[in-house]
Amino acid sequence: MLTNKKIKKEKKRSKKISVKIIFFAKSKEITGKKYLNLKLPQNSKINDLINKLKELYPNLNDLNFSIAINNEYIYNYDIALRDKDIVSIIPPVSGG
Amino acid sequence: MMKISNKRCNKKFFYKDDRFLIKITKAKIVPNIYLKDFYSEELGAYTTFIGTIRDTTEDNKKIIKLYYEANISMAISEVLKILKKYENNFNKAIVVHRIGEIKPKEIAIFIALSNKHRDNIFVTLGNILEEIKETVPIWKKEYFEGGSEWKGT
Repeated sequence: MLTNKKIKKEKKRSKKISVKIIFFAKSKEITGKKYLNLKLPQNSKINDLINKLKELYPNLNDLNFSIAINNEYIYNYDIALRDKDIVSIIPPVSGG
Repeated sequence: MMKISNKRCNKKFFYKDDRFLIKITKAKIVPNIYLKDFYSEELGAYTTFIGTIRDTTEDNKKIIKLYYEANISMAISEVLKILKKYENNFNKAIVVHRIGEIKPKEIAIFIALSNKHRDNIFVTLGNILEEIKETVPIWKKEYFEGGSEWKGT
């Protein structure tokens, strides 16, 4: 039997975060989506999200893209995402 | 923290303060409109860059149009970072980038810098342009005879 404490702990463990992913340019064509809302286990890292996206959309494996979280470029994908983060998928840029 | 206006005003998105004007716009870019208010009694040197759409691709296909897309608020904040990096080399700056469909001969990007003297502003403008091309989240897709392709390496 689960004690109250254990149930609480279990609930906490299964708590999820929701992140919004925005696809731009070629990534938008590959996924066929402008946005995607995903629920991920708490403490999911950017790497976990990238793997998940590549699983959902295998053609993303052929695209070399960068990531921005809340409109800032991120270079370390080993950091945890937070609830309500907005993740931009940034294919190679070509402005000017 | 800098404030970026997300107000949609005639499909323009912009940042403006005493020294910098940054705009991402779907409207045609008319440099003179920006330059009119750019001249100042204390400053004696101005330089501009105008980037237009060519009518052929690098491998000589005829271009029908280009389509530009941006992560608008991030593009504005990235341009602002670049301008701040070089801000000691000039007095005021304008960066306007067009998005949406653009035809050959039309302007895609307009940059202007002013300073008291001409000193560094030519080189600085070149550096700003190169960094914009490298880091600012704007993408173009070429539509040429027989197909289309996203640019960027």
